[in-house]
Amino acid sequence: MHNTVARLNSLSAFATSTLMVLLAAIAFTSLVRPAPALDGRVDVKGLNVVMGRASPYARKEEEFVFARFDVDADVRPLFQDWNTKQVFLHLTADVVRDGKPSRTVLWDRIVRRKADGRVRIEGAKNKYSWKGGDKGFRNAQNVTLSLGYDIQPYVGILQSGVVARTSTPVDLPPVKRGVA
Amino acid sequence: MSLTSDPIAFISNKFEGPIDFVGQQRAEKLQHLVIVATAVIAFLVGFVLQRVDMVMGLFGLGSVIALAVVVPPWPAYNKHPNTWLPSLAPAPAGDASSEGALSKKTS
Repeated sequence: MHNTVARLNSLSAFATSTLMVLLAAIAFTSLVRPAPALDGRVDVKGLNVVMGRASPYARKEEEFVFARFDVDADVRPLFQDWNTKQVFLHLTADVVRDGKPSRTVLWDRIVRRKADGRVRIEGAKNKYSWKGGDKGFRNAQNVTLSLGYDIQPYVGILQSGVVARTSTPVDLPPVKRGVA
Repeated sequence: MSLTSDPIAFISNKFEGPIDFVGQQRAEKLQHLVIVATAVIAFLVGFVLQRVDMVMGLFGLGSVIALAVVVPPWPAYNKHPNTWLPSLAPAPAGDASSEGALSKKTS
C-alpha cells in the first residue's frame, strides 16, 4: 500500500474476490426454485415420412419425418424469480427405434421477457430435420412430443423441466417413396 | 533525475503517490470497509427490488467510490510522516569510512 500502483492492485484484487462472493450469493438465492405450475398443451397434427437428401449433393438418400403440431404454453411464472435471464423452450420428439429410445429436437424458442412467455403456435412445421439415418423409421413406434424448458439464470445453474407432453403416443406412417 | 536527464523516471516519480505507514493502514482498512459495505448494500437493495442489474450497478458504483477514496495519495494519508533519528555529527578524518555509513540520510 506504499504507492499508488500497490493500492490499485490491492483494491482490484479485493473487489474481484468480493464480487465472486456476491455472485455466489445471487446464485444461491435461486438454487432451489419452487416447482412452477405451468399450463401447456402439445398436440401432433400430422406426421409424414418421405425419402430425401440432407443437401442437394449428399451421397445418400434417407428418411425424413415432417411433423405438424400445435403448442400452447404459458411460461410466465418462470420469470417471477429475479435470477431468470431467459427461458429456452424446446419441443422434443421421443421415439423407440429397434427397441432403443431416440430423441430429436423439432422446434425451439428463446423467451427473453416475461411478456413473451405466452407461446401459441398452430400447425407449425419442425424447425430442424428429423432424419432416419441408416436404419430409417421402419421399426419406429411410440412417438411422443414433449415441450421442455431450460431456465437460464443471470448467475447460477441451469434448471430444466417439462411443460407438457402429447397425451397418447402415435406411430409413424410407412415411408413414402417416389414423392416428387 | 529531471525531465531532461531521465524523463521516464521523472514521470513515474510523479505518479508514485507514497503515503506514510499510518496512512497505509487506514487505506487498507477503508478499502475493505467500502468494498464489503458496497457488496452488502448492493445485494440487499437489488434483492428487495428483485433486480439483478441493480446489484451489479450499485457494486460498480461503490467500487468507483472505493477507487477514489483509497488509491490517490490524499494529504490525510500523510499526516504521520516517519520520524527519522537525527544524523550523527561527522567524525574526524581518520574514522570517515565507518561513520560515513551511519550518518547517511535517505534522499
